[in-house]
Amino acid sequence: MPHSQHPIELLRFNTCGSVDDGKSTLIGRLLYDSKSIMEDQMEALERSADITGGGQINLANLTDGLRAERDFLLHGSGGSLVAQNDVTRWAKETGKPYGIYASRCRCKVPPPPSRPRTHPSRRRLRC
Amino acid sequence: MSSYHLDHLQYLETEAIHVLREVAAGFERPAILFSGGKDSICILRLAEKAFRPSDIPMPFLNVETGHEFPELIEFRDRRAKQLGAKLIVRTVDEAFAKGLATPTPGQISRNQIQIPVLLGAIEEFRFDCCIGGARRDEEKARAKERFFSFRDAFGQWDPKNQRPEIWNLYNARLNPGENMRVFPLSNWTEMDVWEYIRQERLEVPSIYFSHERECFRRAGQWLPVPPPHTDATRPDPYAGARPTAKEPVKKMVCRVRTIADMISTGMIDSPAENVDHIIAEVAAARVTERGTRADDKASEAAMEDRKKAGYF
Repeated sequence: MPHSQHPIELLRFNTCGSVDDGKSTLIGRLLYDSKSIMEDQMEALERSADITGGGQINLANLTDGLRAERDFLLHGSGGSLVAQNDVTRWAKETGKPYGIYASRCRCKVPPPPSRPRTHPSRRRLRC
Repeated sequence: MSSYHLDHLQYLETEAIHVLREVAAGFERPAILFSGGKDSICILRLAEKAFRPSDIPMPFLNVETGHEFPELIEFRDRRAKQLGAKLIVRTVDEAFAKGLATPTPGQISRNQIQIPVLLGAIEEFRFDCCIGGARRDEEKARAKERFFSFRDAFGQWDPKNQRPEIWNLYNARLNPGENMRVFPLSNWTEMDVWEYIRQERLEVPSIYFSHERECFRRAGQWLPVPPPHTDATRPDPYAGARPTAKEPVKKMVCRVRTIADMISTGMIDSPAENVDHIIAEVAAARVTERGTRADDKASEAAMEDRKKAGYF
């Protein structure tokens, strides 16, 4: 079975930032702008707008789906809070500070134009 | 001359095979949850490739509600026999008979009752790991799952108590009584699953392709009309899921996009007859795959609640 003519590569990107910087909202916005949100996901966002967005659609809800992440009113920020446990446990067990908060997303991009590759046995040793 | 470049499907396949081999290395009694749906079919193929030339070293487990599509059951049995694997089936009716679970009055769907049946089967056979075909793009609670998802001694999922998965290092250590769920298809999308099925020429149950069926409209969805109740000794298992006088019944050419059981699966009006048509349809889809699943719509956090109770 021949492989596809235009192979697609996987691109993974992470957003990093401090609490409430807008990491999840950025990813939500990228998905919205690239028209990757389906109709029923949009409806679900609209339904949860009153509870978590103060009346406006909160695009962070696309990635922050768990109850713990959406419980703004009680605890404060969403996704960062869930990571908090990992942070305190790491600090207790290893004694080192843990400083990265992130959320991640995956999309497909076409690969860059390929340069001709030589088989390893043909490559000359560079001394 | 072959290239060292992997396209995305090959990459995903390699990742999944790696996960399956890690399971075989790290656990003593793993099992594959095989329902006969498209995701489990891909898992079987990946398991075949991962353990070739020997047989798949794990039994298959399926928890039936009793409301399944007969085509699906027939496909599942046939496929398990073809592979020469041990298929373990536990049904909700058996659980009622043994007293493991009681039917909730007023609730037709037996989806919630699958949880104690699954946990009972895990305890009976002392499985320490169950491999399922869940993907992250299916639902928001599944999006937060790791490849190796830890469940405590009660079978509960705690999203705050999961292990870090750095690059491709998986932590398979368990205390006795605890369980792990593994999802090798985590990074696959619905489109990837269908493309893989096309590439490997896998057989899928016929209900994924368009066929004629009588359906009735309820809550904005077309639900299939269940088979007539012929066994007079037992109460009708589909009571409440039959069309009432007000609900129009129509014979239509339809297919399923995602398979639950006959009570909770919405049929979609579609002429797709083979895998190529399905791929074209999925590419143009405007609604997510599980948009037609009634069990996900029970509440805003329906899947998360079920996982916390022990669902896979």
